[in-house]
Amino acid sequence: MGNSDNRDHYMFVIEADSRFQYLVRMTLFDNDNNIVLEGSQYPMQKTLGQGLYTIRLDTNGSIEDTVFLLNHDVRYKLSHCKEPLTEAGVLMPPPMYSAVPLDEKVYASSQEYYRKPAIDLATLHTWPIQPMTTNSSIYLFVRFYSRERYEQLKNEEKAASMTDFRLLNHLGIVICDLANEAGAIVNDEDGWMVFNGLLSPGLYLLEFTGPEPRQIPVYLLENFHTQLFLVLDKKPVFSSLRIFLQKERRFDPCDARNIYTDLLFTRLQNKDITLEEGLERSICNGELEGFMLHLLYAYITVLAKKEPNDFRYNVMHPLFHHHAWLQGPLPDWRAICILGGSLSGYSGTVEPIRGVPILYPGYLAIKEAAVVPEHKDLIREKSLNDLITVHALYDSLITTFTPVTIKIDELLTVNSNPRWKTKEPTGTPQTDKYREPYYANYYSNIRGDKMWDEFMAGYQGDTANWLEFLIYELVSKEHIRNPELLSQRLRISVITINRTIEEVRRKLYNKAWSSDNQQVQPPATHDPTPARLMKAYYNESLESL
Amino acid sequence: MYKDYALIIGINDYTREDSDLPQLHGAIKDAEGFEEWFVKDSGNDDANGIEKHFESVYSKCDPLTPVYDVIEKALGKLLKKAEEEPALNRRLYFYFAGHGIGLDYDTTNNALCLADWSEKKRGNALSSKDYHNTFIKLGLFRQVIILLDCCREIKVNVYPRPPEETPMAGSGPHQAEVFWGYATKFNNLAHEIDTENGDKRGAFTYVLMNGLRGGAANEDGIIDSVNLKKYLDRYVPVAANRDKLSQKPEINNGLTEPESIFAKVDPGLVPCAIQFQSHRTGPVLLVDGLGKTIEKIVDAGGKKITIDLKKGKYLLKDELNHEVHPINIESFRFPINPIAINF
Repeated sequence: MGNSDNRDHYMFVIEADSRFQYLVRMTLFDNDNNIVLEGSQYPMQKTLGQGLYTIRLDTNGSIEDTVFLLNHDVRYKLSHCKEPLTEAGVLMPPPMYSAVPLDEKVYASSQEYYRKPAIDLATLHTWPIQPMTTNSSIYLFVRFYSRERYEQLKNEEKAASMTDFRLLNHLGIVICDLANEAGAIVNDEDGWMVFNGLLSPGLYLLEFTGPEPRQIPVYLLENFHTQLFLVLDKKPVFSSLRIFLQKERRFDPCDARNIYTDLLFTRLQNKDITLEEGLERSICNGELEGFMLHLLYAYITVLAKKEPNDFRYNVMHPLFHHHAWLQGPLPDWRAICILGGSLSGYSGTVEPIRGVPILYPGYLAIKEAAVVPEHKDLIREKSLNDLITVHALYDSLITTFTPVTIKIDELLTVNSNPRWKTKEPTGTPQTDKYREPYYANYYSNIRGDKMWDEFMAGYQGDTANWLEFLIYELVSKEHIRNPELLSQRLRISVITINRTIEEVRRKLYNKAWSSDNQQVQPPATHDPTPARLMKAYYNESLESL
Repeated sequence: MYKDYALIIGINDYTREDSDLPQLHGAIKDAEGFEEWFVKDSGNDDANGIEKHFESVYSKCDPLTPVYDVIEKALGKLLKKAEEEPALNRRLYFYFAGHGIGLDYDTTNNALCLADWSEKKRGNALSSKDYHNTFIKLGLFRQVIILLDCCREIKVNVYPRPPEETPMAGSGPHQAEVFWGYATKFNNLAHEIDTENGDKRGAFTYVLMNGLRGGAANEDGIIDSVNLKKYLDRYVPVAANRDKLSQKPEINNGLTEPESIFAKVDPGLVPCAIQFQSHRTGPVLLVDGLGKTIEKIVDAGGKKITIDLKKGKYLLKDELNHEVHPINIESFRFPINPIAINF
């Protein structure tokens, strides 16, 4: 680099409008590509030798480089508009993008034709049905990147439609199908859709029914309003999905809580677990408060492996003891505790985790913890955490999965057997629990080689279920015939392994017991339930009532 | 005299059935470019010369290749050569361009997908970490350079395969230093970008090759591991951003001097023709990277000057209105042609 020691030195200072604080990462390169200063908490300053430097501004991956000569003290400011400033240069950071139409001075994706309806319709019902006693709502805002992009895709046959969504409750019952019924406002000119409905608190599934269907768990807490924002292109851009849980039923694009929630979403999605001291302080001292903001902050804190007696970790506990966490052991709370080293969630007992975490790092933490044999009961059989093992996708920070079939107990009420009685949904989020098949006892009595032989015989090579395939491969090629060993090998809960084995064996039995095949009679030990009920029970398509 | 080795893999073609891995466009060309660099330009100008051995594996769609055995066969041939005179072995390059998958259970490992990878056959991939560890344990090389131009987005239950070689640590005479470069951060995508030639290349390899061919050279024309790392960290995001994509590499440099040199180029001079616009009535300074004024052009308006510049960064600055124009002779644009500037 030359005679750097002989150079004159000058002060470099960079400041930012408050709206850019923490949002824009600044990296200062010297002439030799060395990084001499970086960060996103402003102001920053450093004394540097005379020479050419490059300021790189980075917003969510969009970068812009500015080269300047340092031969006197310089001061730069990040601003959304050029202002006359003495001894300063004004730098306009590259625009940011989000599915949420946030501050239009910062986000190029906050076009007015999206921002205005997002604000206006956040306080209005679009769904005509209003449960009597609830102050909770789900708000879904689907938009395209821009009006122009919508125009391009509008008439494409295979492109997804804005109304290819439906809402299911935790039992798999369709609450609202936007394709078939009123419930949403659709704007065909600009390309946006809003659903806003008051609903009882609980766990819901938002299902995209277009090409490559997908389900998203949506938690609705008492006196909270769940807001989802999503970009649609040829298909939904699930990596753009953002979820807010708001105390007030409104949307403010300039609310710092929303902006920093979106920021932490993006960071966690990119596995960036850095937190500026100032931002962390603002969250911990209550200056910035918000359910999702706190949730994301908690994830980042535990993933960054802070020490338990660290001040910030200690601050987390008080946060969890107020506001919505009081409503019950939400799965994300349990997941965060697992990541932080506590399986019980500090309650003292290790109970099964009800519901699938909102964020997939939480789901992975639960999945991994349940592999330990002593902790296998963290995941209950046929709970969502079990069912989505094969279906989970990871292109979004939010836990999403290809549609799972939630068994509907009501289908079986024709049978007077009290074991089939349904359970009414309650106000707290809960996972589905469907009944053990009555011939489970028959299955459970079959162990050892016969069980594995039945599995191998029942396996259908053309299955789309990759877990069935992997188990089949390990059994046939490596002769691993122990569910616990399979669990360790595949890093999947033994509950899921056993269920998968059972389901493959059932295929063998179903084939044998089909009405077309009278040669094999079902074992005498189980009740003669009509075959159509059994078929309906195991039918893979979801039937709405 | 010493010996360098390279195992170079480029896979464009992937199985169509039950796989969401699209065909790639630039992986083979990327690998071919690396092969050419290794053969012609790698190393320094050691008078005793370098003996180079390499095996390259490029995909084909019919029959679909490469599969695991093909890679292992190529690696086996290379290692057999390396075992002949291990004391002379210097460096092993392991270059891969193709699809890759991050592992949910190990952020330091990556599955390098082979042509027959599919959703059901998730093990049809090479384990980057196991290959890295094996190369070290073999003890056959003083340095191991691992360059992986592939994605690192995660899927669950992907168990890539280690190499068949299972050496004991300390088998060979060397304790290897390692330089490894991932095209992108964990759980992120690596992208193919449009180049000025109209074809698609991996953003990482595009910048890597420009760096190795001179972009990362210091003023003496030396491209070493320190400068290469800085060059990749600086310019891979720029290359991706040109196509409105986001990509940041992850590089770890464990090579120590004096043996961290990848190549030497003629530092040379690049002719620059600067045409000043007519409104430039004030003096214009041409400043080098250290802020020293090289030329001061008085009454620049309408003038044209030609000046030969060494590799580095420069700045034209209009003293009257403070407009600036950076000149980057170190640009990742390759090949370096005479530069015409309008200021």
